[in-house]
Amino acid sequence: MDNRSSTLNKRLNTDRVITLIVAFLMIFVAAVQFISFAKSSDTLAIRRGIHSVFSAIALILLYIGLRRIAVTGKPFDDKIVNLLRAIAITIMVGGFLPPFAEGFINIVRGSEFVLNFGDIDIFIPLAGVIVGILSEIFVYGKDLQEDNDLIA
Amino acid sequence: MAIIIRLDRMMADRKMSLNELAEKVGMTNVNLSNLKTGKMKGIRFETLDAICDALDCQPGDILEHTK
Repeated sequence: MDNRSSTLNKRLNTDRVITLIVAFLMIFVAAVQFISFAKSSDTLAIRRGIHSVFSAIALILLYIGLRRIAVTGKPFDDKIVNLLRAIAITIMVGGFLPPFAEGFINIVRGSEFVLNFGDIDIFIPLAGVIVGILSEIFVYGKDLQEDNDLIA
Repeated sequence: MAIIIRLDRMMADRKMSLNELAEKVGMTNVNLSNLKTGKMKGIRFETLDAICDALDCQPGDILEHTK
Protein backbone atom coordinates (compact mmCIF):
# COMPACT_ATOMS: atom_id res chain seq x y z
CA MET A 1 0.00 0.00 0.00
CA ASP A 2 2.85 2.38 0.95
CA ASN A 3 4.71 1.44 -2.24
CA ARG A 4 1.66 2.19 -4.37
CA SER A 5 1.08 5.45 -2.55
CA SER A 6 4.68 6.59 -3.09
CA THR A 7 4.47 5.63 -6.81
CA LEU A 8 1.26 7.64 -7.13
CA ASN A 9 2.90 10.61 -5.41
CA LYS A 10 5.88 10.47 -7.79
CA ARG A 11 3.56 10.37 -10.79
CA LEU A 12 1.52 13.24 -9.37
CA ASN A 13 4.67 15.32 -8.91
CA THR A 14 5.76 14.55 -12.50
CA ASP A 15 2.30 15.56 -13.75
CA ARG A 16 2.51 18.83 -11.79
CA VAL A 17 5.92 19.68 -13.28
CA ILE A 18 4.78 18.84 -16.84
CA THR A 19 1.57 20.87 -16.37
CA LEU A 20 3.51 23.90 -15.14
CA ILE A 21 6.09 23.69 -17.96
CA VAL A 22 3.36 23.43 -20.64
CA ALA A 23 1.42 26.30 -18.98
CA PHE A 24 4.49 28.58 -19.17
CA LEU A 25 5.10 27.43 -22.74
CA MET A 26 1.51 28.41 -23.59
CA ILE A 27 1.99 31.86 -22.01
CA PHE A 28 5.15 32.29 -24.12
CA VAL A 29 3.32 31.15 -27.30
CA ALA A 30 0.46 33.58 -26.50
CA ALA A 31 2.91 36.47 -26.08
CA VAL A 32 4.61 35.59 -29.40
CA GLN A 33 1.23 35.38 -31.18
CA PHE A 34 0.00 38.71 -29.77
CA ILE A 35 3.28 40.40 -30.78
CA SER A 36 2.91 38.83 -34.24
CA PHE A 37 -0.65 40.20 -34.44
CA ALA A 38 0.52 43.66 -33.40
CA LYS A 39 3.12 43.60 -36.20
CA SER A 40 1.17 41.99 -39.03
CA SER A 41 -2.53 42.32 -38.00
CA ASP A 42 -2.94 38.65 -38.88
CA THR A 43 -6.25 37.41 -37.41
CA LEU A 44 -4.90 33.83 -37.30
CA ALA A 45 -2.32 35.05 -34.77
CA ILE A 46 -5.04 36.47 -32.50
CA ARG A 47 -6.94 33.17 -32.75
CA ARG A 48 -3.81 31.21 -31.77
CA GLY A 49 -3.03 33.75 -29.04
CA ILE A 50 -6.50 33.39 -27.46
CA HIS A 51 -6.29 29.60 -27.61
CA SER A 52 -2.86 29.72 -25.93
CA VAL A 53 -4.06 32.08 -23.15
CA PHE A 54 -7.06 29.89 -22.34
CA SER A 55 -4.91 26.74 -22.53
CA ALA A 56 -2.51 28.33 -20.03
CA ILE A 57 -5.42 29.23 -17.68
CA ALA A 58 -6.80 25.66 -17.90
CA LEU A 59 -3.34 24.20 -17.23
CA ILE A 60 -2.77 26.49 -14.24
CA LEU A 61 -6.15 25.42 -12.82
CA LEU A 62 -5.12 21.80 -13.42
CA TYR A 63 -1.83 22.47 -11.59
CA ILE A 64 -3.75 23.90 -8.60
CA GLY A 65 -5.94 20.77 -8.57
CA LEU A 66 -2.95 18.40 -8.74
CA ARG A 67 -1.23 20.30 -5.92
CA ARG A 68 -4.35 20.00 -3.77
CA ILE A 69 -4.55 16.24 -4.44
CA ALA A 70 -0.87 15.90 -3.47
CA VAL A 71 -1.48 17.80 -0.18
CA THR A 72 -4.79 16.20 0.87
CA GLY A 73 -4.33 12.80 -0.79
CA LYS A 74 -7.99 12.88 -1.81
CA PRO A 75 -8.84 13.35 -5.51
CA PHE A 76 -12.60 13.29 -4.91
CA ASP A 77 -13.14 16.60 -3.22
CA ASP A 78 -15.54 19.56 -3.60
CA LYS A 79 -12.68 21.87 -4.63
CA ILE A 80 -11.42 19.43 -7.28
CA VAL A 81 -14.95 19.18 -8.71
CA ASN A 82 -15.19 22.99 -8.84
CA LEU A 83 -11.74 23.23 -10.45
CA LEU A 84 -12.73 20.69 -13.12
CA ARG A 85 -15.89 22.71 -13.83
CA ALA A 86 -13.79 25.87 -14.09
CA ILE A 87 -11.41 24.09 -16.50
CA ALA A 88 -14.40 22.92 -18.61
CA ILE A 89 -15.81 26.47 -18.80
CA THR A 90 -12.36 27.90 -19.60
CA ILE A 91 -11.87 25.44 -22.48
CA MET A 92 -15.37 26.12 -23.88
CA VAL A 93 -14.98 29.91 -23.64
CA GLY A 94 -11.51 29.64 -25.21
CA GLY A 95 -13.02 27.66 -28.07
CA PHE A 96 -15.87 30.08 -28.78
CA LEU A 97 -14.06 33.39 -28.15
CA PRO A 98 -11.89 33.81 -31.31
CA PRO A 99 -14.80 34.65 -33.70
CA PHE A 100 -16.00 37.35 -31.26
CA ALA A 101 -12.45 38.71 -30.96
CA GLU A 102 -12.11 38.79 -34.75
CA GLY A 103 -15.49 40.55 -35.01
CA PHE A 104 -14.39 43.13 -32.44
CA ILE A 105 -11.12 43.67 -34.33
CA ASN A 106 -13.18 44.27 -37.49
CA ILE A 107 -15.12 47.02 -35.67
CA VAL A 108 -11.85 48.62 -34.51
CA ARG A 109 -10.63 48.54 -38.10
CA GLY A 110 -13.84 50.28 -39.21
CA SER A 111 -15.49 47.24 -40.79
CA GLU A 112 -18.76 45.55 -39.84
CA PHE A 113 -19.09 43.21 -36.84
CA VAL A 114 -19.14 39.79 -38.50
CA LEU A 115 -19.22 36.54 -36.55
CA ASN A 116 -17.67 33.65 -38.44
CA PHE A 117 -18.40 30.51 -36.46
CA GLY A 118 -17.35 28.31 -39.37
CA ASP A 119 -13.71 28.58 -38.34
CA ILE A 120 -14.30 27.23 -34.83
CA ASP A 121 -12.34 24.08 -34.13
CA ILE A 122 -15.19 21.92 -32.83
CA PHE A 123 -12.80 19.69 -30.85
CA ILE A 124 -11.99 22.50 -28.40
CA PRO A 125 -15.55 23.05 -27.05
CA LEU A 126 -16.01 19.27 -27.19
CA ALA A 127 -12.96 18.83 -24.94
CA GLY A 128 -14.62 21.30 -22.52
CA VAL A 129 -17.83 19.26 -22.52
CA ILE A 130 -15.84 16.06 -21.81
CA VAL A 131 -14.04 17.71 -18.86
CA GLY A 132 -17.45 18.96 -17.61
CA ILE A 133 -18.83 15.42 -17.71
CA LEU A 134 -15.70 14.20 -15.90
CA SER A 135 -16.42 16.71 -13.13
CA GLU A 136 -19.87 15.13 -12.67
CA ILE A 137 -18.21 11.71 -12.40
CA PHE A 138 -16.00 13.20 -9.68
CA VAL A 139 -19.18 14.24 -7.78
CA TYR A 140 -20.15 10.55 -7.72
CA GLY A 141 -16.59 9.66 -6.69
CA LYS A 142 -16.81 12.17 -3.82
CA ASP A 143 -19.96 10.41 -2.52
CA LEU A 144 -18.17 7.05 -2.69
CA GLN A 145 -15.13 8.51 -0.90
CA GLU A 146 -17.33 9.88 1.90
CA ASP A 147 -18.97 6.44 2.25
CA ASN A 148 -15.56 4.75 2.32
CA ASP A 149 -14.30 7.17 4.99
CA LEU A 150 -17.08 5.90 7.29
CA ILE A 151 -15.85 2.31 7.12
CA ALA A 152 -13.27 1.40 9.79
CA MET B 1 -32.86 -3.23 14.25
CA ALA B 2 -29.16 -2.46 14.40
CA ILE B 3 -25.67 -3.82 14.87
CA ILE B 4 -24.04 -2.45 18.01
CA ILE B 5 -20.30 -2.37 18.62
CA ARG B 6 -19.46 -3.61 22.13
CA LEU B 7 -15.87 -2.51 21.98
CA ASP B 8 -16.01 -0.54 25.26
CA ARG B 9 -17.12 -3.63 27.20
CA MET B 10 -14.34 -5.82 25.77
CA MET B 11 -11.75 -3.10 26.33
CA ALA B 12 -12.86 -2.76 29.96
CA ASP B 13 -12.67 -6.57 30.41
CA ARG B 14 -9.13 -6.63 29.02
CA LYS B 15 -8.22 -3.40 30.86
CA MET B 16 -6.98 -1.92 27.60
CA SER B 17 -7.06 1.78 26.80
CA LEU B 18 -8.22 3.25 23.51
CA ASN B 19 -4.70 4.44 22.67
CA GLU B 20 -3.22 1.03 23.40
CA LEU B 21 -5.78 -0.77 21.23
CA ALA B 22 -5.41 1.78 18.41
CA GLU B 23 -1.67 1.20 18.42
CA LYS B 24 -2.05 -2.61 18.38
CA VAL B 25 -4.67 -2.54 15.61
CA GLY B 26 -2.88 0.10 13.54
CA MET B 27 -5.75 2.57 13.49
CA THR B 28 -5.88 6.22 14.49
CA ASN B 29 -7.41 7.08 17.88
CA VAL B 30 -10.06 9.15 16.12
CA ASN B 31 -11.15 6.27 13.85
CA LEU B 32 -11.22 3.78 16.73
CA SER B 33 -13.15 6.24 18.89
CA ASN B 34 -15.66 6.74 16.05
CA LEU B 35 -16.00 2.96 15.74
CA LYS B 36 -16.50 2.60 19.49
CA THR B 37 -19.21 5.25 19.61
CA GLY B 38 -21.06 3.81 16.60
CA LYS B 39 -20.35 6.69 14.25
CA MET B 40 -18.95 4.40 11.55
CA LYS B 41 -21.11 2.82 8.86
CA GLY B 42 -19.16 -0.42 8.68
CA ILE B 43 -16.06 -2.38 9.58
CA ARG B 44 -13.66 -4.31 7.32
CA PHE B 45 -12.92 -7.99 8.05
CA GLU B 46 -9.25 -6.94 8.19
CA THR B 47 -9.97 -4.43 11.00
CA LEU B 48 -12.24 -6.88 12.83
CA ASP B 49 -9.51 -9.53 12.62
CA ALA B 50 -6.91 -7.12 14.05
CA ILE B 51 -9.24 -6.08 16.91
CA CYS B 52 -10.04 -9.72 17.73
CA ASP B 53 -6.30 -10.50 17.73
CA ALA B 54 -5.55 -7.56 20.03
CA LEU B 55 -8.41 -8.28 22.45
CA ASP B 56 -8.12 -12.08 22.13
CA CYS B 57 -11.82 -12.51 21.46
CA GLN B 58 -14.34 -13.56 18.79
CA PRO B 59 -16.22 -11.17 16.44
CA GLY B 60 -19.43 -12.09 18.28
CA ASP B 61 -17.97 -10.64 21.48
CA ILE B 62 -17.63 -7.25 19.77
CA LEU B 63 -20.71 -7.14 17.54
CA GLU B 64 -24.27 -7.41 18.81
CA HIS B 65 -27.52 -7.43 16.89
CA THR B 66 -30.57 -5.75 18.46
CA LYS B 67 -34.21 -5.71 17.26
